[in-house]
Amino acid sequence: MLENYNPGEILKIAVEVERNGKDLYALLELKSQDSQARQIWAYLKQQEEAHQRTFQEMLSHQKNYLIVEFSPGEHESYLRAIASEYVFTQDLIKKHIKAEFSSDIEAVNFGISVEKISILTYSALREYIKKDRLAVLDKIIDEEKNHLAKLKGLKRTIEHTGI
Amino acid sequence: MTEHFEPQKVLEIALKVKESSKKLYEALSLKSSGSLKNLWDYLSQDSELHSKVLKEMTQDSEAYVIYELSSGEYDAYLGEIIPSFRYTQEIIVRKTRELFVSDLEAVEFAIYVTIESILVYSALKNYIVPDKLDIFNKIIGDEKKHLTKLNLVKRDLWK
Repeated sequence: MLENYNPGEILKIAVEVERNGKDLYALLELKSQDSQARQIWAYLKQQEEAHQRTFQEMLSHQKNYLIVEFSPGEHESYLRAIASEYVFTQDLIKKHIKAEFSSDIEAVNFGISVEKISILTYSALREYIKKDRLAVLDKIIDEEKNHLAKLKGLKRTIEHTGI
Repeated sequence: MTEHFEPQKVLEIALKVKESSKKLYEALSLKSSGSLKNLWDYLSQDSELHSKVLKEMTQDSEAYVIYELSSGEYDAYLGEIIPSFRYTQEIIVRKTRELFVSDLEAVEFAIYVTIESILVYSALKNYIVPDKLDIFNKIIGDEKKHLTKLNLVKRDLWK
């Protein structure tokens, strides 16, 4: 678990998290009995796939995206800490792909926690992205915020209707 | 329904979270020793400092908060994370009574609280008067340091 993650490695983890996120949402789409929930899982699956492609592009062309010379300091320590939590989340996603959730609300809550840690990790990574490429990452961060809002909406629906 | 967003209201919740966190960390410190006790003491002291700043901000909110801001998805996002933050405060109060079954569980809970705080404060930044942003950024910076320290302790406990 003790790793010294650098921005390049975090891009690699992001590709994996988005890929696993896509697989998990695909599974939830397949299992869901409710049409509204199915639509949201399908939407999230497509979004994660698009994010995976973007992070793969960033990873494959790191020199175009990452600031090479960056003075180490507190932000670097924070990035490593948040990346460590992000990796832990990735392990949990894999676990949930194998083992089903006990309820829809548990699945939604897990999705919310994944979106939260993604927002924080990508926001921390911003400091290492070249200015002229920031829009690429900012778009993903905004979409993750939008996913969080959608999942919160789904959670309210489940709590009120018991779907 | 998405909660109607008022920056001052968020600051009030943030203050409650900080005050509750301070009590929780004090309770955890009493039950701990060595480096873990030092960690809880450090977090408790920082929570007290942050409470003072947030109290000043809530009491003189006109000097700190921008109320007129074009609404959009960002507001919706903040509106969505506020209820979780309020819920976080309720859990902190409960955990202060019950405490935890292990040190690892306590550290993981503190990480959860810190993550929630960074998310809310970062979203709230857009509503802080520019010449007061340094004060607010200091709190966010401190929260990031807390997360770094907590993560290191979690790594040690995992070994």
